[in-house]
Amino acid sequence: MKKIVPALILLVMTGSANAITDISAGLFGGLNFPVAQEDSKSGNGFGLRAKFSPSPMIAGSVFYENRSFGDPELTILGQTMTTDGGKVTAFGVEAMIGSVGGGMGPHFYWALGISNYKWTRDGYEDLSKIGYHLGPGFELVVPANIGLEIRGKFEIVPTDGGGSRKNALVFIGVNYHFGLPAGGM
Amino acid sequence: MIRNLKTISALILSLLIAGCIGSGTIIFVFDLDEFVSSSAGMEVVEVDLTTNSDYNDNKDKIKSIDQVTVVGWFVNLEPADNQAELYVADVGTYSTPADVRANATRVFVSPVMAGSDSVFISWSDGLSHIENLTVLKDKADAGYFWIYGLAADSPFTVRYRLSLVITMTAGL
Repeated sequence: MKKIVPALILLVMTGSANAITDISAGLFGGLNFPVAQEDSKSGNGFGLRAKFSPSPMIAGSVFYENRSFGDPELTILGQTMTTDGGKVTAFGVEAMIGSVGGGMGPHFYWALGISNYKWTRDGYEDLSKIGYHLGPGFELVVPANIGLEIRGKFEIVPTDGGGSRKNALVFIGVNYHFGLPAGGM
Repeated sequence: MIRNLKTISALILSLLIAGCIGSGTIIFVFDLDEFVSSSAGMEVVEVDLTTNSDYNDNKDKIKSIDQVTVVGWFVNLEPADNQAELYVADVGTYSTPADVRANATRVFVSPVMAGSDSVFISWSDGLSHIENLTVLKDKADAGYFWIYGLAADSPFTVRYRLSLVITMTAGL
């Protein structure tokens, strides 16, 4: 760890790493759709992500997401009622392949990741499991080293008994690329 | 390199899909027949979930019972404050509150009902009054059990108008 941190700082400060190494960090937000789950409805979310691309074709990232589900609704004994759809936090890592670094212009990639998924609802026990996700992303890096990104992912969280919770997510975000020279490459 | 990573990704995804993607979470409501139970004449209700089409259509594909909640009205027909209780058992033959307390499992305790008043338990409130949830889930998984209506203090006379809200994960 003592060696990694200075190395990362050096890379951030080194503009000459432009085409080889790309380090970016960004914010994103979007929609969160439960799949085949009657106990929650679609909601929204936001997150943070830091990405490191040692080559233009491969990258790794760490991310944090905070999402909410809409409240499910039922008619019971003639009355319409809801219960808490809950909130999800996910903290994880992912690998990306495709065009993930190398400077200005369009970049299309696929991401595969794993996360610590925690679903909390009022009155219910928390569900804390490992989740997996896969999905495409597209980022357009413009001058000033800003990247505008849209991505989708399908998430699956295996649960006890052989079932799973599944979500589809769509995010848009903005990233700042530290490793590129001003004006892109 | 990229080809290998794509292959690995596809393999992992295939395993995930094969393992657990073919499931869904289903919620269904099972209405209990309204009943009145008292210390002088205790009432028991049969619960046969196979009479519910949502349960019956999925009973052979159940992967887990995720939640069981009690929703509805408890009406205190006595002048003294009391708390309604629900017990579950595999049989409906217990004839006295003492038998029920000795042999069945208490799964629900209502908030205090004022004398000659009622309380309503909503969907979002239900779980906070549930006890022994694991037992209740097991009964729901079995699909057939009995519910006894009691109250914390005697004498009691309580009218129960209730539904069970059951959340389960089943294969698609």
